[in-house]
Amino acid sequence: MAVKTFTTGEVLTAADTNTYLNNGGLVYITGASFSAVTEVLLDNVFTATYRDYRFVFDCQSSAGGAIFGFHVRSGGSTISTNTYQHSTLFMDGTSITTARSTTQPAMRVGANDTNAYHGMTLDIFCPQLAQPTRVTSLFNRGIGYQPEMGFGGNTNSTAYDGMRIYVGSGTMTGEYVLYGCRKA
Amino acid sequence: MKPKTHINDGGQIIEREMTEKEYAALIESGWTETTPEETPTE
Repeated sequence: MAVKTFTTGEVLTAADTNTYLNNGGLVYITGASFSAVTEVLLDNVFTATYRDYRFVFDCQSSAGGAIFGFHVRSGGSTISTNTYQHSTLFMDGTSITTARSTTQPAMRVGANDTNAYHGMTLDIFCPQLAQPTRVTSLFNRGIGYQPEMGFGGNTNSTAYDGMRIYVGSGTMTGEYVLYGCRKA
Repeated sequence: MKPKTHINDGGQIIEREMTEKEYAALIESGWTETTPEETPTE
């Protein structure tokens, strides 16, 4: 049970503290900072404990003109076969650009600009189950604060235990946190 | 110097320079060191 109403004078037990105070709707799994890297690899993070996940990511990119991409990983290996799809919606304040791509080697989740600060949220659905992994991305492009939304994922009906975020040119410096969505 | 990779293996974090094999795979994937339009041309 994710919610409990405590009454006046009730004893707060260690069990209740562990259950209700330490574990909100989003439960911390892991997080770190990174500096001047081309990729962030997370392995052994998708488990049977959670079904869906939220990944919160911010960075400053060193170069521009390329994309940020998402891969699933299995046993420490990146899956980069043409098994990804994505539909994107990009707004620059004047126009809205949409695109849909199938059989891609990665899922596009954003685009980088030189020395720009970006913020991104990924919702990752069922990566550890033997079904397609679905990903919804919200990307705040630092220059001009232009939004990009992405809907895609990996079409394999395969369980994966990790993920990769990479940048197509230059490097990135920032931080991330991965949460599991508590089910009950 | 080769670019770095950040690996978080179940909470064990390593950040290191890429190996030759990893760097070769990165280049193969189309990664460029600088902004493509700023890459010097002859």
